[in-house]
Amino acid sequence: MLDIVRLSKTYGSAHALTDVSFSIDQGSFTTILGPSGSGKSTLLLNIAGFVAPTAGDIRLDGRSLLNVSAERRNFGIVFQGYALFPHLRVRENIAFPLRMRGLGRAEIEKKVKQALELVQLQPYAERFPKELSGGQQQRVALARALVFDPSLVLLDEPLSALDKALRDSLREELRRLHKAVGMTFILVTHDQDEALELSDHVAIINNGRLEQFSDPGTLYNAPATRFVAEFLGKSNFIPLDAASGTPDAMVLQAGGHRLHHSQQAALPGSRRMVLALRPERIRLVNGQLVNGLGSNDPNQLPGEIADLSYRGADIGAAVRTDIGLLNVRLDTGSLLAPPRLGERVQLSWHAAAGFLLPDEGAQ
Amino acid sequence: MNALRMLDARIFLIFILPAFLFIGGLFVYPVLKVLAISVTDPQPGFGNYMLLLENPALRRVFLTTIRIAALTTIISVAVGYVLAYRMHMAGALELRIIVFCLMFPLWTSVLVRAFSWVVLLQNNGLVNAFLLDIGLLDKPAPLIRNELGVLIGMVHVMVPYATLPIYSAMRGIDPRLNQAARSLGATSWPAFWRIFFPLTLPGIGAGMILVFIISIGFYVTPIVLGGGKVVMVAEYISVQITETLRWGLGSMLATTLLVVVLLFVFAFRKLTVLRQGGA
Repeated sequence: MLDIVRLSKTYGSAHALTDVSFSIDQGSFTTILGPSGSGKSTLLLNIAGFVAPTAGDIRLDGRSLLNVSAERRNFGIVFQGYALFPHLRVRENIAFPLRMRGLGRAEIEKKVKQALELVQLQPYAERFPKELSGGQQQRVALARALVFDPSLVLLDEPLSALDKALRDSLREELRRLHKAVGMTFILVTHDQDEALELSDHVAIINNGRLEQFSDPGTLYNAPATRFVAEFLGKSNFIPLDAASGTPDAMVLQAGGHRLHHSQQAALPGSRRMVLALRPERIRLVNGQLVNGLGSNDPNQLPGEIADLSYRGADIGAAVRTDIGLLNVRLDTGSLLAPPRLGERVQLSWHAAAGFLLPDEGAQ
Repeated sequence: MNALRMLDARIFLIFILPAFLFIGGLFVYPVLKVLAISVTDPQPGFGNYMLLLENPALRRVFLTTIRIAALTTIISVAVGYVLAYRMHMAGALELRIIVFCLMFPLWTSVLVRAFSWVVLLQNNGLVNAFLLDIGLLDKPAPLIRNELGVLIGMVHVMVPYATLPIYSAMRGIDPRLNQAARSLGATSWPAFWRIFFPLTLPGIGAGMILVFIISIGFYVTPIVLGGGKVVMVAEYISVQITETLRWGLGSMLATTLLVVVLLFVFAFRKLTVLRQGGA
């Protein structure tokens, strides 16, 4: 169990990290997600031991790591760009941490062989890193970080340098490896899809602060802040004029319309709130309006299609309504007729489709 | 159409022709002419080259030259490595100061430099006076008019040539490699010896070739600081050409020098390519 306790890091007057706390379970896959410059790399450097925090603590199984140097933390790190030793063969790269630990020749050979099998690179043991493809180099880096049974594995943007197809297949590989070795993995990335797909838990960092630490489902369906709702997937933000009622039966006022809303998660404490609505949670009815479809939804809103963008399996539509331009994701299979620009349509959504967030101003 | 394309290609050759004629006519041809004297004067044949084997004085000059050049190379590269490492670790201001100090000897005239060393190193010079004052010596140490003096003067000016290629090699090393080594359990010494140092070997090789090639042809510094006692090949050649008028011998020595230099360039290139993992 790794505990990040009220961690702060300042460089001069610049705050790279401010009061970040969360705990990572043994054997879990946790992602630290944030845009570039958010402080996620600083957090990684702190965990790895290359940078000392200004305040706060990092504890492994209850023991503070602050006085443990990077080389003694026993963490396997996969660096951005892999940082393979260019003058050493694949086999020697993987053997390096074992040699540093003074293991015997036979044992080193055995463990290197196992690690090569784990990442399926046995035929490449005698190659130099530059004789390998990007994906293969990445797997050598993984093998090198896993071979010495580290207490945890840190992965710094391990997939960002690869093209999309390779990224997808290596994502699978990362999942498989995590299951196979059962170690604690911490991934640092700016890629939301990667975070949602791979992780048990995601820590979202923005401006050096922890926005939310939760499982992917909660993050997506009940974001705590506007930043999270915006950064993970797409959202419509509807500014509200007033809100009243109890959490499970609220009435909201927006653009002259009464909207019905219910919320399981805690309501934000602030007075100014916005309603966040995912594009796929809004139903759109076009063509001749068929009776019944979507008519059970308490929220009904007429609009006009202002823009259409085709993305294959679905279509993105921007619909102009009284409460602003709403982005709607259309499932091509369930449409009654192909949507046209300028067409009058009916939007609807369920009371529990959206979530209320404090209005911090747009990002 | 094809003929036109061929013509096009040939037209481009015209553009490099002036440079080719200039270098070929005014440099390569005369040098070859001079080198050819080694097999034509005083009589055609390899008589001059046989002297290299037969004449002990000649052999001594050659051995002295190679020994001094080799020592200069080793010392300069060792000092240069430490300096380059310091530069690699330094902040912007410190880096600027080191670079300035490093370049300063190169902006100074070779004569001024050599005679300044004479002033510093002679029997009643600053260095000996200081060592006598603090009681480390009871009589002045011979610091010039010997190989030590020549070495001091040569290393002084060769250090920048050794430092810069090494520094450039260090700059080219991904700083994450050091972090990677540490994360894998390497403390500073193993991280340095197993990762950082091997990756600077091409820079060391380049520095060594450069220093050795330049050192082997040193002329003014050995004359001034060697005081006639340490004779290197360049000075010996000059004597053959201007005083004894044995042009064939001088030309033979020049040719031999050139061949030695080319051999070293070739050998070191092979070495650095191998070290980098077969390129």
